[in-house]
Amino acid sequence: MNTTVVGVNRPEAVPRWQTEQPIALVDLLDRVLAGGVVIAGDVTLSIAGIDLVQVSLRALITSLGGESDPLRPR
Amino acid sequence: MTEHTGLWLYAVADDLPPGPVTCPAGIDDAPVEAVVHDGMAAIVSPVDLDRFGEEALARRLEDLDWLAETARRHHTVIDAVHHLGTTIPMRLATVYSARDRVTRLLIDQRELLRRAVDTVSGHTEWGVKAYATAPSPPAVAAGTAESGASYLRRRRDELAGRDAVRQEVFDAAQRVFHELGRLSAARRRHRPQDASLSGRGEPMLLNASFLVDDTEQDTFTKAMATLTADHPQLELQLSGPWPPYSFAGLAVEP
Repeated sequence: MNTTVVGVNRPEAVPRWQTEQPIALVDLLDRVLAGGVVIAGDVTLSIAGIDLVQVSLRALITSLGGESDPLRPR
Repeated sequence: MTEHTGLWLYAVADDLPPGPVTCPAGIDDAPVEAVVHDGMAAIVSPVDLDRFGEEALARRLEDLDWLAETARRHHTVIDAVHHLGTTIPMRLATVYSARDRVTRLLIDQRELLRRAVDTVSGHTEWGVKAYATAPSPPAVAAGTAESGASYLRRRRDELAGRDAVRQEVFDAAQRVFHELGRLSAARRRHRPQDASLSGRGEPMLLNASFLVDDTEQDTFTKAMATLTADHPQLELQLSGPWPPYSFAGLAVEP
């Protein structure tokens, strides 16, 4: 193991405005479900192939009572 | 690790300080640790495979309360690690059966992970959403007697005007996307959030992420302020800084 430590490469000057607000769940789901690197875990091989955004929308619709359907064609 | 314990993978990080990872607890309050190989650290925490196996996960992903809690925990860990070194977030629900499988990932995917690190190192992700501000209602004199033909003509003009306004705000949102894109190393559109999810009446015109060089942060936020002032017909919302969720995958996707 040859861990090299170059230190933190994020300057403190990065503006922090609006970060005081709690993160909206929809914004978070946009990123954790449609972003990130997709590598299949050996336990969750097939989940890597699922469109998790569709899954989360189904969960959101159910929670909203199912009257409006975000998946409808526009 | 027992037979029924797996490892939830949050992220792979480069250049972490040596020693234990300083980080809040992970999913199910489990302690977070790093599996390190050749300078790359896989950030993991143990999970019960009876509840985090493939079948159980596929089912629970449809449960909003569970999804919300899991997504927040996943993000909390990634965000903490993101402040320690260059971080490649993994998509939710990447689970391994054993530690040596995680090490194997670091070995087998080294090239790909290295490319992702090169893409996002020294950059920050910002989110920008745009909505139309409520248009002012057309001025119609109240109580004015109006002929049928005049009504039809006015109605037709009104509808045409509304279409033109809609097109105009849509074009303005695209200009914002291109202007901010010019100041960014990379940009990406997310699908617009549905009105029922965003909690807003007006449709979302833009839902985008920008990967901004850390030396260009000031320029970027100043441009946001200028674009906001120049486009009164738009409401712009900035979110972030985010770990590079929307861009770490770019180096990987075909």
